[in-house]
Amino acid sequence: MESYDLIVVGAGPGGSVAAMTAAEQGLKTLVLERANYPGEKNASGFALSSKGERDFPFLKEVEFPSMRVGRRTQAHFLSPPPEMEERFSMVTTTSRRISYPEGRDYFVKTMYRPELDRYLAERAVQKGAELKLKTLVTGMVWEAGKVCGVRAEGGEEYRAPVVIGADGVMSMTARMAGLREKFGRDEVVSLCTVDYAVPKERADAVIHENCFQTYFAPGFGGLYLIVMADGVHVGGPGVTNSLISRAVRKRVNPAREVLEMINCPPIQRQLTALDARPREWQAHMLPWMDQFNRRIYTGGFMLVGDAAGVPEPLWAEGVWQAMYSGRLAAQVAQEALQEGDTSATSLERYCDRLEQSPVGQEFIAGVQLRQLFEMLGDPVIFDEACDLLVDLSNNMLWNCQEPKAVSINRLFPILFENLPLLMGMLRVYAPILLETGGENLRKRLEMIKGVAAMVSQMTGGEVEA
Amino acid sequence: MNREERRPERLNRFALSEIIPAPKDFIFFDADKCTGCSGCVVICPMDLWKLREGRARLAEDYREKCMECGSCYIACESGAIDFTYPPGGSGVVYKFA
Repeated sequence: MESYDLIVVGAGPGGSVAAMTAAEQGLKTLVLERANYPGEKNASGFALSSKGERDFPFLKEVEFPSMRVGRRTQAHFLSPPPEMEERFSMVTTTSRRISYPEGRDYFVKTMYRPELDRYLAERAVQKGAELKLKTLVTGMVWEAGKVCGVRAEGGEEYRAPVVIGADGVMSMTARMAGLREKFGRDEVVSLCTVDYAVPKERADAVIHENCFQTYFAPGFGGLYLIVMADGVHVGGPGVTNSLISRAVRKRVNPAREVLEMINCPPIQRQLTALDARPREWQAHMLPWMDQFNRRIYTGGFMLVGDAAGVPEPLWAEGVWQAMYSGRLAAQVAQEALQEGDTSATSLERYCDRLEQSPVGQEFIAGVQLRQLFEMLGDPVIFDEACDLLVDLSNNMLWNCQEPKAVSINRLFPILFENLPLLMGMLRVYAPILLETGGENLRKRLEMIKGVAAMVSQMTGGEVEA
Repeated sequence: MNREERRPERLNRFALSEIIPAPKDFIFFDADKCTGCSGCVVICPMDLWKLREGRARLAEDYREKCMECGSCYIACESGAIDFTYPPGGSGVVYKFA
């Protein structure tokens, strides 16, 4: 039996950041990983958002062979099956209003997870943590109602006053620590991905920085097409069909849905342009909670990353969240060890701080925005929304079929006809606005009143305020 | 490669996945608890569950095909399916995740 200050189960981004933080603080740290190398197992994050570099500046120095910087993002809205052709598509850059420089510079850096996970694990080892690979944890060691170590499959025991469970969505440590049997059917999505090999020059020429693309079609969930330096991930399904409860109810097999949607002409054209060759098939689950999960600690034990259910509720982004929660858990472990109290009451501060942190903040608007996306899952609403976007752009700018004045006069009827849809959107946005920026909203409304009076004056009363 | 060769029905999920077969079982099925709801049959991304005589049945060679996603375990509401992980060093290998 060996003794440590901290044991981390799982060498993904959450576990490795927890371990490097702890080791830096001088804690004797052990990381147990069941795979042959970090990143080999159920890893599904393929992109790290700019929040990663903001909060973990050491990442700025890192270049992975598979890394591509995503400064553009593109959404494609498709017509219903069987046609599934492009109806509306938009490319956007980052917003200049983003609050930190890295966020203004890029959305995400795409990369293969084995590269990221290996790097983070190696960094944890450099800082002094010990890493044991090919080691599956099969039990917890308890003492006075607290977790005080783990047991590996060979029967070896490793002891530590604090254990961090970073073993992903199917967390066995959460189960063994009595926090939950498993996530519910409404809390997890199933995702399938095809990875393609792509010549780097081709990806540079065709995709450049537009490496984060999404495809939506009525009735389908949606697909993402993510381009790394020399590879492509096409995966999904998105929101509407991938929740386990929903897939089972609708009798939709996520794998077949992804394989079917990859067949749509716009994605096939992209893959042809990229000279993409299928390389790997992947299937995994992601936690997708609709509220912040507070069952993430008990005496001597904390959960981080997917195991804690931290992924953001709209896009299910989770790598940054895992790293953030990992660091926080290690800091709390250090404090608790210094105070000599690793009880559940003492570790509750981890949960409180995480909930107040940007990770917890994501849950405020994310869940409501998700409802907006779920609205788009309805084929009729999807079609109406596409019509609105197409009508607006065609009649405002691109009309070459009729006199411009005719099409511009259509704008008001278009907006009027779409009032139900716009009201539906308002129902989603208004509560978020009120909860997070009510004061701001009132100011803007006052401004609009002022502007309305001005417009009225300028038009000589022709348009009433 | 032409377009025809890339059509999804030609994407062979099994050929595109690498698995080091686990030396022992890691999915445990209790047929007595199964209600035949077929949640596992619908959700499995590798089609490893089939419904026979009103009860689910797991493919015998699942250790060579299972991606360890655990969705059958989540989908099962009757507690008939129990899932653990394959022993350390075995199971699915992702190189491009």
